[in-house]
Amino acid sequence: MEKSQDFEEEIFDFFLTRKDLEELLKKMGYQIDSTGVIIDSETGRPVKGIKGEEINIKKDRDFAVVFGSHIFVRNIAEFSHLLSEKNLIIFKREE
Amino acid sequence: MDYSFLSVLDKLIDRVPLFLKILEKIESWFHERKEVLEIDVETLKNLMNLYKIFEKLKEEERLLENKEIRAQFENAEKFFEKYAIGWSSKRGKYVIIRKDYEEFQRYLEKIITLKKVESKSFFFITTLDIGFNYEELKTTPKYLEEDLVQVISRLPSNIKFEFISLINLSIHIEKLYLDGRMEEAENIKKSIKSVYGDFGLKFLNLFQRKYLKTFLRTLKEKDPLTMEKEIRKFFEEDTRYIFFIHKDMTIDDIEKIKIKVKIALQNKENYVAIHSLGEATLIAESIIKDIEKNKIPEEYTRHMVDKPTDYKTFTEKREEASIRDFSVIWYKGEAGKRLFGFLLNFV
Repeated sequence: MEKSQDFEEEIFDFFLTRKDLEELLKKMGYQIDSTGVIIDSETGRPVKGIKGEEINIKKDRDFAVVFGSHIFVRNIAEFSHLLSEKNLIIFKREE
Repeated sequence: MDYSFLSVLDKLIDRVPLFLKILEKIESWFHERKEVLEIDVETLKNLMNLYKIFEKLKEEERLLENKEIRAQFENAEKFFEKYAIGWSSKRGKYVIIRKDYEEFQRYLEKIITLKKVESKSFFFITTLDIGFNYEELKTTPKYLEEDLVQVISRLPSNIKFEFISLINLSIHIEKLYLDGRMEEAENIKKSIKSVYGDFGLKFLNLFQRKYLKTFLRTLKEKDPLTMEKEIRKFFEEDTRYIFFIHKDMTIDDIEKIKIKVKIALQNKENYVAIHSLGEATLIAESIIKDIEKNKIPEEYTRHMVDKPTDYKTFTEKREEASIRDFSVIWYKGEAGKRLFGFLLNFV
């Protein structure tokens, strides 16, 4: 059996089913309106990606929630932009 | 039966043995009372594909009228209800975790509270059909020549993040092409277009064709202000008449390119090029044929490329085939020669 302490020390990226991801978002305090736009229940405002566009789970089917600064990205290109802004892209020198 | 029905059915039948194998693995896992199971990339990809089929089946209920398909669907449903899939940074492995595992539940609770708190660790949550692509982009090392790494580190701050992101994506897409993963590459290209617009696609194409890499090398000794000026000139002027043909271009798009190329040649612009790969080569050939019906000014040197690349694709029978490059370039004068040198990787 896994030891709890070991598990606590782990950091996971999760790839969930759409149903699970939507449930998790709701638990985090977001709502999804009838058009698919994610709304922050606290502010009543739509959630935006790092390029400033609203996230719509019906249109932006490849969206992700990124923790560390709690940001939504609409797709892989936005994720790459975020990695760049966080200085997390490291180019290894080709021999 | 229509095509989509047959396509889903074929995929499902193809993957039944794999699915049974995964279930068998999980049975033995239960037996060992493990809560976290490390899996290899192939198993992850199989689960990802099964999930895609599972989602498709949910959308097309009539497929579920077939008893065998329904049974597989229910198996998949049970599986995805019980287990979560992800990547463990500590282990450097993909994992399956039982959702009813107490520690997993506690972990999720922790994530939920993170909404208001900045966490020290960087991690993401997405859906199963795209998670692998995110993870690959995040964890696969990107190799770049030493001199380019130095130039990139000195890029002006207003374009730095965008350029680094686009270089990251360009290297990633190059790898996907070399691996024969065209569909995934095309999906990422769509996301580049939606985030960076036409500039993003131009960047990607110029990088792929070596123009951009070689150009960036010429900036080695330049100060940030000059760098910015030259970068703008490179994208807005020097490469204005380089066209990249895509297989999904409309007749209207193609006609517009024909007109632009004809005018550029009439105006004796220094560098005019048409590049194409794979299925798009047929479109490019027809464009060239049409353009060359008119006399090309004699100042131009014509260069043609028509050969297979190292990029791969797979036929319907899963046989490997290389992707063809078809390009025609007309260049003249020192400026034209310089840009032609960029294509050939000469500074």
